[in-house]
Amino acid sequence: MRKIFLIFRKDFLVEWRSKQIFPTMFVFSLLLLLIFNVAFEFRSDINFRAVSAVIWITFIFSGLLALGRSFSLEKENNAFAFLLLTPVSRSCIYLGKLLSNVVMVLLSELFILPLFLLFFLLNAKGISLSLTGEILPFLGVVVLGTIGFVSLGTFFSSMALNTKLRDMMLPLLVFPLIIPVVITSVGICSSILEGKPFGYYAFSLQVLVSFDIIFILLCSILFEYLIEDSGD
Amino acid sequence: MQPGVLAIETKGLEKQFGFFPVLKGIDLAVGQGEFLTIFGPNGAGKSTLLSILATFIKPGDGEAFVAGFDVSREKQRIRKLIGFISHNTMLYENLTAWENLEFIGAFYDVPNLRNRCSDVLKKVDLYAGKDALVSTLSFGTRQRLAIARTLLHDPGILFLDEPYSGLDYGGAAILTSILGSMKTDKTVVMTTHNVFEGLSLCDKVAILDHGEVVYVSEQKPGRDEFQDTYMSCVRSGDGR
Amino acid sequence: MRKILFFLTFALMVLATWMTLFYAPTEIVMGHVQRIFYFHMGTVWAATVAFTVVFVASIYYLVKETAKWDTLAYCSAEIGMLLLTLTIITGSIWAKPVWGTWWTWDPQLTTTFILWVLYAVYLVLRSGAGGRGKKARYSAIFAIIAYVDLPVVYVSARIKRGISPVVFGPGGGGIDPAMMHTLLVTLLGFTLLFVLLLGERRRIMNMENALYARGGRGG
Repeated sequence: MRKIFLIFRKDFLVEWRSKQIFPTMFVFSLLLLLIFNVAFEFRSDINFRAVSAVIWITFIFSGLLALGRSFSLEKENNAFAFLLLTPVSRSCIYLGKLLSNVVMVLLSELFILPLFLLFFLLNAKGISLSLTGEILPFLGVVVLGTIGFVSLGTFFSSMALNTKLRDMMLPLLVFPLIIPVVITSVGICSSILEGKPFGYYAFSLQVLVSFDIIFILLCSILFEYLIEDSGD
Repeated sequence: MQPGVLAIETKGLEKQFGFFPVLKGIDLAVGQGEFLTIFGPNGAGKSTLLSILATFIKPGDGEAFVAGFDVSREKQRIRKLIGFISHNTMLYENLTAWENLEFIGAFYDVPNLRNRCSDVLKKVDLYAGKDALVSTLSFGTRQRLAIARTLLHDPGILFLDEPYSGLDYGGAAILTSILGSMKTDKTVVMTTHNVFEGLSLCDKVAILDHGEVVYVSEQKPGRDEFQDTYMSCVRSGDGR
Repeated sequence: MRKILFFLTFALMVLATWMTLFYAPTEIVMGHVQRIFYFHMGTVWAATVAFTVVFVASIYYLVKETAKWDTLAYCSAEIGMLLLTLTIITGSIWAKPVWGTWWTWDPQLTTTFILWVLYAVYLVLRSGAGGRGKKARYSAIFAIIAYVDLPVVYVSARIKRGISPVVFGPGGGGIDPAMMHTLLVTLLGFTLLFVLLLGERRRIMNMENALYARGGRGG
């Protein structure tokens, strides 16, 4: 546990000093929101499903961009290779990277959400935002969905970087696998915005949580095989 | 390490990259406390051999043991016992010298980590610059820091992969003196293609060419004599 | 052995074709177009078998690290991809007159489509990974995660459109025995076809590898 936290703290120090991932991700998200806004031209006739889709597409695209960057930072100068030489368990390295990636992606999402509110939801008809009714559940789903796509994103970013296609490979590997996260997260978010009761989306929530658990477990088991180098 | 066990032993060790054979049946034995230098031209398979012994990459056919542990099955046990220094320093650029040591040391479960970090930094004469970011350090200084990091957990076996390449004369002298001071109680395997640097510290030598051991000597040979041996053993070409 | 398998497969496929066209009765509601459903089921069944083989072979590869498991997984994925493409095409031909559309995003179709995409990515990953060992390891890992992912995709696709009506056709309770026979023969035929193709593909693959090894080049 302490070692997972150490990797997390190291990643944060590095990011704090290099300031590469966070600003990139923020600006990229902002641009995506802008593009969606001009493309959809939402006025007051807002479609909650479409708006939820907009925010999740923004999160996933900018999140994956950041994840690709995060591992290439680690690869720079081969410092990661030295970490692999220490007798720390490989799943520990994965969980540490996962933790720092999740926190980093969540932080930039936190900065994007108010802007999302401003751009898409303030003029919406028939919306009532209360802290406990909508905002907190919404944030909860953001956390769970982010864990979902970052778990696979973290795992595959270390694979993608080692392939010939490099960064091109990451979305190819991750997008088809995180379809369940997209379906459930967008579904739950639009249900929340529409003011549906909890029972309406409870099953989706179960699926999302199961996804998170299944793939964190599977990835931390397989990570050892992933980073084991056959030399060619 | 168990007394009486060979520090390093390989039997018919092979390795292919794709379909290209890099190591073609390596047999080597290094006793505890010995210093072996492996010479060979570029592409001879020296780095691959060292990477396999250091559990970086997986072995192919054959067997390899470090401190009596199998490199394909008992990796974590080996990792606790070995240190690795290469011309590639593998440091975090955006961390300070101290942070680099503290971070890596934690994964070796080094007791009294902070004291130990100060000790090894003093040993390589870097204590004063411990709070400088690695990205601001010169190559020689980084190499010294990499040595300090390798000494943190006091490994009994050291692998040195072309440690001299990229170092200027002063840096090379410092490296030699540090290695000389550690030599007494550690097993060391070093690779190099430079006869002068390779012979200065070693107890025994081997020459690797085209993935095969072409020459072994249990004694340290004279420099001129060895120069001739080396030239005659190594086939011309780029090593392929 | 190879010859026996070949003739057996050939005979069964001819029999299956004959049964599909002449032996099975014409479905009352859908008419003759329903007959394509036998081959549709045959291909989707064989594709499922193929992807299970990929999954199992991938696990074996990670544990044993012997090239033959990687070859098996790759060949099986290629054939599975072909079979699944046929499934989607025959399904579309069937769906147009019966459902009035070539394609609809119902849970089964969504899952099939994602399965197709996953194995397309699997093949892309193989071509773009790099060295032989890396290629084998990465694709094995991806195949395992993809196989585990599929049921989750299916469950979540069911949420998307609510619970969709069960696709009718052969497989229901009150099925005509002649239809059932035809279906079983077709399934068996396609299973054998898959085994045959897999064997042949592996032979070619092994020859290719031998050639590469002799040439001394990386593959």
